[in-house]
Amino acid sequence: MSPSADAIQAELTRILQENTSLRLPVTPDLALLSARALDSMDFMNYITVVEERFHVTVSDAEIAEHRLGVVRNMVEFLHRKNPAWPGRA
Amino acid sequence: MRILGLAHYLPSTVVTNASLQARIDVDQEFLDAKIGISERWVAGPDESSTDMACQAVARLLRLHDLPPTSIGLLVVCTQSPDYRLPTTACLVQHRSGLPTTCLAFDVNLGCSGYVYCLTLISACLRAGMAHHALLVTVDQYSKLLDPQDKHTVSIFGDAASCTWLGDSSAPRGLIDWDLGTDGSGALSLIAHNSGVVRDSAKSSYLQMNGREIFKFSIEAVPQCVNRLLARSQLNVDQIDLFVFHQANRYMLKEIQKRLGIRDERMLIDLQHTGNTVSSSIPIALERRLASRPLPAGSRIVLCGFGVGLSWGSVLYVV
Repeated sequence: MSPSADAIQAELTRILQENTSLRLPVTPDLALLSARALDSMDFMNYITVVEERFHVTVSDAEIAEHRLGVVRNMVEFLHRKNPAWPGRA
Repeated sequence: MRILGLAHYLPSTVVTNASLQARIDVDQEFLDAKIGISERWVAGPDESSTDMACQAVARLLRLHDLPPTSIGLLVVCTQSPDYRLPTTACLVQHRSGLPTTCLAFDVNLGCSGYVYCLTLISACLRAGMAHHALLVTVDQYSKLLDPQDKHTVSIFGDAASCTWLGDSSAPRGLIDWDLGTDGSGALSLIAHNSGVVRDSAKSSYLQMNGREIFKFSIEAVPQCVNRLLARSQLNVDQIDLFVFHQANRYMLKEIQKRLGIRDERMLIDLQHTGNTVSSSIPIALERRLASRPLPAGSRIVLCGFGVGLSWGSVLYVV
């Protein structure tokens, strides 16, 4: 992954660890909903915090279309949406 | 303005998570532990909102030996009135024996309604419009819900409350407030075809965009509370009790985390009532004060938020 994608992956990992009850290792292929890693409330919280941290809006349609429940897909999506994201200060 | 008494009424039919699971696809453990609701109460098919409201009023009057003739102002906060007209307040005034000199009107607000109405009544009392007021909250969301929609049926419960309010002087009672509205989020929680706008293409059941409501709540509520506290140069640790609208446990814990509220000061009490809309704050507050009264001088923040979208918080000193 590119340095920017690495930074996004790291931030998503932090979000999941700090804001959800996820107990699995966060890997690019982790499917948060289909693997029942997160329940619906945790997933909703995850998306909300992602929006806040990355300064983007994520619609329900985009979640479905881009299968954003998979960590790798979310990394790519965020990189496209906000390629200028500066990363954690 | 001071809160002089609190009472509530729950209808007689309980709906447990087990009975819900028998007819729709709910996860009992998830509801119990994550959402924080084990059971909720629903009004009978012939039980009106006026019936429920009058039960709450009668309990309060009886509890405090309060003559109904002493009440000069009645505000009924409801989004499930018996009729579009006349107001439920008029019906409650008559059936509860309140004097015809009593000002009585409805306020159409949901989960922010209790806090909004406290502020409104405070202004009325300060203006000398009355010396004693009753704030009644009542809702029967159960009659607005799609019985197959697990996201709403599992959350909402019916209830009514009655709060007796009277004059006070600073520094006790209602000290300050922060209220707000964002109608751009109106569609996030809506009952189509419930008013003059008719659209046969839309379901008449209550529609809730859970994600938008969650996002709004965890962002707007901390901002509202922080604004309120900043105006009084207070911080979170100087508040003895926070009573938020009892929406669901997960949301409340997230709000608690964002505000940095300690567990012992954060009231979460919806296990046996569910989300009772504008009654959730007064019911939780009543139960809390009955079990562990707060000493004079204690500071309480009450905060309601939801349909509208609207929000409000008040700072109250016991």
